Amino acid sequence: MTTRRRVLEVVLVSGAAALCTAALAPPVVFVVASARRGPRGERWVRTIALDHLRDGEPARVKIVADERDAWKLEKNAELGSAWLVRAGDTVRAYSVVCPHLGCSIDVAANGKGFECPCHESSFDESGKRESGPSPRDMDALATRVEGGVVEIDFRRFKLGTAERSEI
Amino acid sequence: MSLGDYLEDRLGTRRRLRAALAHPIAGGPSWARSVGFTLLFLLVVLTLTGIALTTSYAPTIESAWASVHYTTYVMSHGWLLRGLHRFAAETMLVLACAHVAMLASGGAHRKPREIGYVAAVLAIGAIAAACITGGVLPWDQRGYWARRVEISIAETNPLGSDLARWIQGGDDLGQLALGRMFAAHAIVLPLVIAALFRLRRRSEWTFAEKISGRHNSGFESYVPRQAARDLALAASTAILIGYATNKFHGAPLAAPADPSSDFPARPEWYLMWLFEVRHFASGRMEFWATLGVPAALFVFFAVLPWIDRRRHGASILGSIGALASLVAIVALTHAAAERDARDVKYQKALAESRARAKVAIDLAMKGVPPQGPLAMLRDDPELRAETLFADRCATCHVLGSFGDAKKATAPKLDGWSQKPWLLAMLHDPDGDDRFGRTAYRGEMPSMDVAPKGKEDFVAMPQEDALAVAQFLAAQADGAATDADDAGKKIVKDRCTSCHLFEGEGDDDGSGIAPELSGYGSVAWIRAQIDDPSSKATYRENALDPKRKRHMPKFGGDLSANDVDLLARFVYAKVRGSGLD
Repeated sequence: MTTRRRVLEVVLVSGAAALCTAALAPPVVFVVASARRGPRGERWVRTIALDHLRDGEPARVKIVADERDAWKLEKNAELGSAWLVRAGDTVRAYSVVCPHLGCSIDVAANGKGFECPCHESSFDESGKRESGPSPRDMDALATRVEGGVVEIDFRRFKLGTAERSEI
Repeated sequence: MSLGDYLEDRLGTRRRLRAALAHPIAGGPSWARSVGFTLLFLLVVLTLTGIALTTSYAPTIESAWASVHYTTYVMSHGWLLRGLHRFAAETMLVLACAHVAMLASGGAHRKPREIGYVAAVLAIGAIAAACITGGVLPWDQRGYWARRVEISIAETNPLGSDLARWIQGGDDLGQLALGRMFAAHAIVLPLVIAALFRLRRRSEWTFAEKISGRHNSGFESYVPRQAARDLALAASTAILIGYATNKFHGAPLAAPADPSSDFPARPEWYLMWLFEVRHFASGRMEFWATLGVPAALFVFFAVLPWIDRRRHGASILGSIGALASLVAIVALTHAAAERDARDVKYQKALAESRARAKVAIDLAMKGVPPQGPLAMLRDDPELRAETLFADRCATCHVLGSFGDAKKATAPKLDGWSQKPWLLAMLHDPDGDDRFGRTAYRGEMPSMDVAPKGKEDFVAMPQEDALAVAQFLAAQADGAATDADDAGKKIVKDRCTSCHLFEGEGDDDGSGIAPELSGYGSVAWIRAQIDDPSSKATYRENALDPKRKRHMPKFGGDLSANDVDLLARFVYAKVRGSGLD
């Protein structure tokens, strides 16, 4: 008798547990399976006319392009910024996103090179890491000049790693 | 039958209430238990104010800031509600820590109360998580950048980066992240906190029933002494929260979150001690410093019941742990505040972001477009013109607070084309504020100072200079002039040897001096920004690449709307007034 009752109890309890799991599983799966986009690849963004840049003087430009965020497709969204440094007819571009923890890098207070306002990483004029916690140099972005306008291949990179890898 | 009897008969209300009030308490009345009661009271306050706040909050990137702005600045008592919610939350976090410290040092963590004690430790984590997720909901610069850095710290964890993606619901801190934070803050975490509180009470009551049953007599009930303490502490806390809300006028709202801006990210004050810990670690150690240190503290308090060897009385290990954490956290928080107070650059950035917040808040009083507050800021004429001027013009020109006079390579624009400026130009064109620092230095002769070695120079009489200045200033203002205006006659006779006037000049078109009709008017400025070589202002050779630092052509690069906006902006600012 006791054995039958015990078996019945076990069956009922496991049935209830299974029911709870069944109710819990779909929302948990939905929340855990987050949207993964993967590297976006090449994306050329027009910025500013080459003529408007002064030699050797870093200029901050906004990255304006179409952006998809979840269900929303925004035309001409401001995605971020980049630093441009002109040298004659060529332009070097650096992502403003600090490779350390993602704050926006600013020009250094003394006017030489760059520095991050959050954790004091500093970089020289060519984006090379000088001091502070940043694990790598500033992320350089490819540039080209099309019809007198500087274009940047805008990408994002994983933070906090010595090797840079695109996200 | 009274209502009380009616309910008693069906729900056992009176009996249950009496039992609760007469419930034995273990070890007599204590303030630690009153802290627990106050935490429960704060949970009720937060739930009520939270529910009220959700009625006017919209968790989307475009609407979050605008809805919080509306709640705070437009709706009646919205500021009060946000303030109470904020200060109740921060008080709750502090009291939850105090509660655990009191329990751990007083020995209330020992068997068989350990589950209730661990529930209190876990509640600190849940409350902190609720504070952090709540901080991002207004989607302002402060919350956005603080979370962005925190999620980046999570991303650098040694186990791989899926943690960050899981928190954010995707690769970026965007819409899905906000949705998750809102769900966690408004639904999941309150339920978790309530469940932990319930667990704790169950554990304490079971313990009290057990030992009161054992001793049977001389056991104090909840009423009256403990109840009086509970009410006193909860009431004092309520008064404190009300006072703070009134003094700081609610909760702050920074400028709308802008991923393309630079903002000196800082965590909330209760996390500043971790921000400071980071300064002692570098490289791989950073993750362990920022997440490992709080995790270690957490684990220490959570496993205290099992590592504490002392069986009775106050806990030495618990007291040392509580005291050491308190001293360390206070000292580190203080050090972080000192560091930021000394940091001139940070203070400047903070002042700028406050000014930006004020501008956005004022502008939003007129309503925010459905595209969101960033679109509102981007499309506001005055702000847009300021940004355009700062980005495009102030690299060479100085105008008001824009530009750096030491780096200027173009004329200063304050008062440009106005009478005093024109007179100065006629007398000394190469003054520092005029052509002195530009590509045109030496190109225009003075009208009343003889060039070197030119004996037969005839200076322009003062009254002629005055007439010219008067005439040209009228051109800038768009005022009508007589056909036989003296100044106009001189301009046409004398200036056109180099300048154009109404498209005509005495040279063969190879000159470099600009058009003087309409000089300084909106149309002239617009033409000059659009294309300085169009002959409407200067001529083809104005863009000669050999002329270093000449003014570039902005037409094509800037939209016609932007060029027009800039022209009207310059026109207004030259006169020291606002746009329109």
